[in-house]
Amino acid sequence: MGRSGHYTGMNNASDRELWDNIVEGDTSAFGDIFERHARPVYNYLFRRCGNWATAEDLASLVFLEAWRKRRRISLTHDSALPFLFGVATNVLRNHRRAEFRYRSALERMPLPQESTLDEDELVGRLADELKMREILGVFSRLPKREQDVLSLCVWMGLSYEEAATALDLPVGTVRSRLSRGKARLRELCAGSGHMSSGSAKSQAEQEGIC
Amino acid sequence: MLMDPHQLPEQRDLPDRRLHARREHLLSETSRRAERRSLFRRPLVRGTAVAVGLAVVVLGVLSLVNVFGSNGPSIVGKAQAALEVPANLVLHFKTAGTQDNGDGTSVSWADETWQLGSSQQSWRRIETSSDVAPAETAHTGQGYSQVYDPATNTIYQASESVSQTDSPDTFKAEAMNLLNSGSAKVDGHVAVDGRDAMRIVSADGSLTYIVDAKTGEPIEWQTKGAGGGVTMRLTFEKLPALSDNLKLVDLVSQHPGAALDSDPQHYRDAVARAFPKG
Repeated sequence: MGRSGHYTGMNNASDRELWDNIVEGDTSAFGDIFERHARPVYNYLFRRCGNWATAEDLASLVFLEAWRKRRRISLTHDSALPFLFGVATNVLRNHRRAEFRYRSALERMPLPQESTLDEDELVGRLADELKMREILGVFSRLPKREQDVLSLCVWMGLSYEEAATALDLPVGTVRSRLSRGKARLRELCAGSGHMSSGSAKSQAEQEGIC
Repeated sequence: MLMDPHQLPEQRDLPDRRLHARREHLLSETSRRAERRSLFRRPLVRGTAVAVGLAVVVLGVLSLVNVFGSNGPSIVGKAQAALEVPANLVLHFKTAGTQDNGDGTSVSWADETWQLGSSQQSWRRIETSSDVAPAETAHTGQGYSQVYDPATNTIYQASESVSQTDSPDTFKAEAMNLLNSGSAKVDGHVAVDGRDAMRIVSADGSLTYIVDAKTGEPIEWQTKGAGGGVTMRLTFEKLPALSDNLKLVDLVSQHPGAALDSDPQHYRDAVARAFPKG
């Protein structure tokens, strides 16, 4: 599956066609949208918060919010993903409000209690979290608006136009924030005040932070 | 090298069983919301719900008298009773919320709603966030959702649902959950803006509900988590259903010179303009 919105799995309808049905209240179409896009949304959230379990909970909030807002949007791209990334960005910023709004709904969610992951997967996820925490330690020093653009365009591979849709910004603003964010990040990594020692900086470079 | 995405942790799938559980939960919740809205559009069901609501209020008051006798109800009982709004009153509900993100940043918003009785169907609402213009919406007893666009001085309407943000019903459900939990603790008096108030705290300490010590009326709702929390200041005012107060529920009465546009697509466009961030 690509990001084109043309999924070849259980339902061949495009995201736009599914969304027309969703606006009319079709919950099974919404289930299809969830299956198509839960993975990128989940990974985007992980890359922003650095914790797989939190990302999973936030992903549920994102889709509940998307359902609530379904009538307010018409898809401007073939894929619903830019819209969902936009919702996810707002949820990251307002997640406590969203948690309040959906507290009862979340309490009704029955989830498997036992671990469903094998040992290798668990170890891998822990390593991911350590690495992401280190990356976010640098990244979080950027202004939030630059974090949003960088993470969508660089980390998740959105085009300028898709990021503009997600963040409800003009395309020119996305370009300029991306450019400023990259420059600022370069300074953060190179600046003497950022890394306490040469070895720490070198380690960060090796790990792909800078 | 600047943030090469290939150097980030690889993308992973949600574990199958959890993906399935999340999907089923999502479908159940969305169906639940769709059914609730559709049910309340039926006049008979709506009328029955109002009648049942009134009966519950009457029974609730009677039971409080029986249980608490001459000493009157406890503060929890008062808080429960204060949340009930008879159908013949207009509820004026204001929230001013602040979310502390735990990283030195915060987000604030304010919502103001006028709702006819305990009906979910007749209301007008103004939603204000820190970074967008206020949005004014309404829902009529005839089943129309409306949004007002000050730029065109037009009320756009359609027989669709528009907004459920932090409504009185959402708040009431959360507060009632706490009060009915049986494990909430009364945690002493506090002064809020000169009012004598009492704190009611959930067993795990994550929720605090502050109510007027004398009347049980809502004053503040707090939630807190590991890295921050939300504080919502509340005004929960019950107004008699006089002509002037009924106008507060009605978007047309608030904008008497506004044009009325019933084109569904125009309505959707106006909603998108009113809520640019979704």
